[in-house]
Amino acid sequence: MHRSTAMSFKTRRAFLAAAVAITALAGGAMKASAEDVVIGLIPKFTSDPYFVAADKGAQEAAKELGYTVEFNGPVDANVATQSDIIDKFVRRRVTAIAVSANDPTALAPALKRARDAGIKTLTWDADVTPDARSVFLNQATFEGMGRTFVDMMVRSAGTSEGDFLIVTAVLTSPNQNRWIEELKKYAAEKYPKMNFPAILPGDEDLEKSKNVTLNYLQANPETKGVIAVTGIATPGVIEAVKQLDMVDKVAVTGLGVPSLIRTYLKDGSLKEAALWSPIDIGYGAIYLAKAEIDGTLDPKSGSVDAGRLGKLKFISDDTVLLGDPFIFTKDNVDQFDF
Amino acid sequence: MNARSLSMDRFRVNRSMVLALIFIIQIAVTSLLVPGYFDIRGLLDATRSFSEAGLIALGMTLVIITGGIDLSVGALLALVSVTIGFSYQAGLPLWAASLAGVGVGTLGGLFNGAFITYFRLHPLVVTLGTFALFRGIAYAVSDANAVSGFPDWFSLFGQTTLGWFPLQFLFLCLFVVIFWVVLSRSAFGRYVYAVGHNEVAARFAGISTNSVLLAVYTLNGFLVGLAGLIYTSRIASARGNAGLGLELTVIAMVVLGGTKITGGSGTIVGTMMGILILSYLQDGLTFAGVRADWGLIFIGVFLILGVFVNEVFRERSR
Repeated sequence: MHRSTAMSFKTRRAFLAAAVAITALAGGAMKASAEDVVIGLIPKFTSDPYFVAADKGAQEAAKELGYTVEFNGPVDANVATQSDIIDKFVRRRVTAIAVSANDPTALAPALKRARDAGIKTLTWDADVTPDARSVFLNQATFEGMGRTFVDMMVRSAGTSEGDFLIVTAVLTSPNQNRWIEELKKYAAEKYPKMNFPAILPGDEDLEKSKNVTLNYLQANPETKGVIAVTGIATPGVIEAVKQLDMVDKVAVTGLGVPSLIRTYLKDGSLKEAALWSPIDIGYGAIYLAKAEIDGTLDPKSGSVDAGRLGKLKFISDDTVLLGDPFIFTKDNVDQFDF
Repeated sequence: MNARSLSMDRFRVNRSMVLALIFIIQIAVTSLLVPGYFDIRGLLDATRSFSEAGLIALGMTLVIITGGIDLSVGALLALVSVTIGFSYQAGLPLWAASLAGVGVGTLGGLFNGAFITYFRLHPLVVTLGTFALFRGIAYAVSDANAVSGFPDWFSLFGQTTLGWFPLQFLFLCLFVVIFWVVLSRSAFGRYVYAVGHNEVAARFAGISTNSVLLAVYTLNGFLVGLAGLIYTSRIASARGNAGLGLELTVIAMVVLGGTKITGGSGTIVGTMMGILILSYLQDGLTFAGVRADWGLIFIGVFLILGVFVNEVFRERSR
């Protein structure tokens, strides 16, 4: 029995070696010819109309520039999968990788490997550590978002005194964390009686966002409002408030993706929500990639040419600003189809 | 005994060869369909993403051969990762934190084993419980935060290469050899099969079945500890949501390799093939730009086909 096992092992090995040799010949004949520019676009996760809209914008830019944009990302907000996808794009020898990160440091090793392989890296929507990418397309200034969240909440709640819950994405999410920092700073200056006793992660999952809100509000019924700092959490939070029949007592505001919040704006459980155009951020990211590929990306010039968006300004040495946040209300939400 | 071992050998050769053939065809087809896929360095690079699951699959093979199962490996991986990160953050030197992580993995396996043997609880039930328990502890300790900022040398485990080979892949190969020797050529290996075939008969034959089971689950936990260290090093971040869904991937690898889910049969060679087939299938799909959601459909189909093929060969050997 032992002898036969050894033989089967050896035969298998020989078989494998021969087959590998054959496949190598076949593979060798098919060398990749990436004359065209291919850009790997990686969202935080794919099951979100916001990122689907970003892809739409990116494809629009790709068509204008004659590029190919490949959109691939984890189904859930998993950073290990994002890291794997970056590695795959590196093997594909794409020209550039544009990513919206679930974690600022965990993707740095993979992005650095990409840069070592000569691939341009940039970030949009959510940044990584600056040494891992050349430029970051920020949809709004962090201070601007912080201010907008607080002002919207004060308007919706009708008061600036009391406890307000914050529901976020995954706790490591870089853009959400900066916004929370800024909104707390702004509130401390302007509305000192505004308290934020808890920041709960909804993990970019509608169901979970709803459940954490439900549990919190049941335990803390004197909460004046909930700020949902990620688009996918907002409908979950509103559903929780409605389920507890607290629509008049607890105000909800935060990020809002029109297709997700349209009904709530119409029925009054949500008064205002903010966003920027995700189509524009995807579009802009590709034009930023183009500037990097062409070598025309120069912070000293102050701006980057971004097709139909005009010139996007540098707000720091390595960050380009998309624009101002846009506030949706029941009166204007129908103008948008994402 | 002679006649049976001959037919068993033929059956073993046949099944392993079929699996190897499936693997070759899979790589060839992907290479032909997707330009640029067939790049030796690239294919070796891909081993980085499955070496962790592969290590655990070796331990899981033994677990499943004994007729058991371990659903807690993903959660335990998270606990290991969180242990490393948070004990480092609390001031422990990183090498000690790493050892602590591997230790936690081993203890987790021991915990499972103890409840399965001495309390005589079904492995499915126990590991379903620890699946929740370990994950819960990981989340509680980390408070859903992540620890990063590890020193550069820590990336040794998960991000370095020896020549063209990622270090963790060489590690995996080393363990494949060790486990192959243990399972097919040692007394312990024979005991594992015996317990899987018929635990009562094994006990009456004088085998200490409790010790065997305890050892198998603890060994599995130890492998999860190693995998957790490699994972944390690779992602350079310790997080409580690591390894979500890992148990299913690992079990799929083992089952695809021909190990019977009810126990009593299975080989390390088979598991190795299962690891390669499943991992490169996922790799090829992602490389080709197929979205993860669609990829799942392919993987499901492949898995069902693979299990079916294995069963066909099992029938033939009767």
